Amino acid sequence: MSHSNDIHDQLELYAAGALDDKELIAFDNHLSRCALCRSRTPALFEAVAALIPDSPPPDGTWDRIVSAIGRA
Amino acid sequence: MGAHSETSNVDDAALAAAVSKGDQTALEEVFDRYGGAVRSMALRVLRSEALAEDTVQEVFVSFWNTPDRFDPGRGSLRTFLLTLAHRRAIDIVRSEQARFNREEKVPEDVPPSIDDEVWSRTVSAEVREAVAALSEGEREAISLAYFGGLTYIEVAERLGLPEGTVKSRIRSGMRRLGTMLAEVAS
Repeated sequence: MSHSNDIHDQLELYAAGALDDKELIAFDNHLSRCALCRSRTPALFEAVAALIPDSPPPDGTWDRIVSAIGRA
Repeated sequence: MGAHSETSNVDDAALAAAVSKGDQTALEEVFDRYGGAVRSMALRVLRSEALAEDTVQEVFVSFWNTPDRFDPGRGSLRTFLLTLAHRRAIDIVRSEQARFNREEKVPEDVPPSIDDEVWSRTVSAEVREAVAALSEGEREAISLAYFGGLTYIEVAERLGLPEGTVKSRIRSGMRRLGTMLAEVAS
């Protein structure tokens, strides 16, 4: 249960996609054990997702999805 | 564009539950709602129409195959799908192959940064206000990381700044965005 402060401090970097692949995996592992970071993650993900506006779905892609999931 | 009369008024949690029972019509409604945003996210990071389309397909197929990875208690369905798209796009952008491919064509409708004019006309007033509340340095560091796929170390190299400075700019900017936007997000 003992964590260095460093890993908690990576939460915002994690949500911003600013960690390298190794750090990302380490933080994913951390999240599975740390309720505090887990509780703080949704607000950050919601915030960055809000930066992307809604728009109509792309034409043609639905047909590709249907083929890929194997049911017509 | 199918208007699914029986699903169009259903809320996201109910739609996700239907998807997890194998209801393809529910998945199509989710696609109609969020497919465009998922594509925009992928396009912002990948800057390639073809790679963005592949990413949209992967995101929805992944949601179809493992719908229980979405936990309504931990955020909205929209954010869950955009987070999947972002993570996948970052993986692609960081692969050597994509570094090569993405240079071939940059669609004109892709805004380069979160304070771009095209972008600012399409997002809500709350989002514009939150982004405006960031310092120039915070905005720049978050844009390069979140939309450019750069690690904080790469952002520091790009900007000629110490890593610690970049880390603290991303941290403070993300905290402010989180405080201002978490309530707004659908």
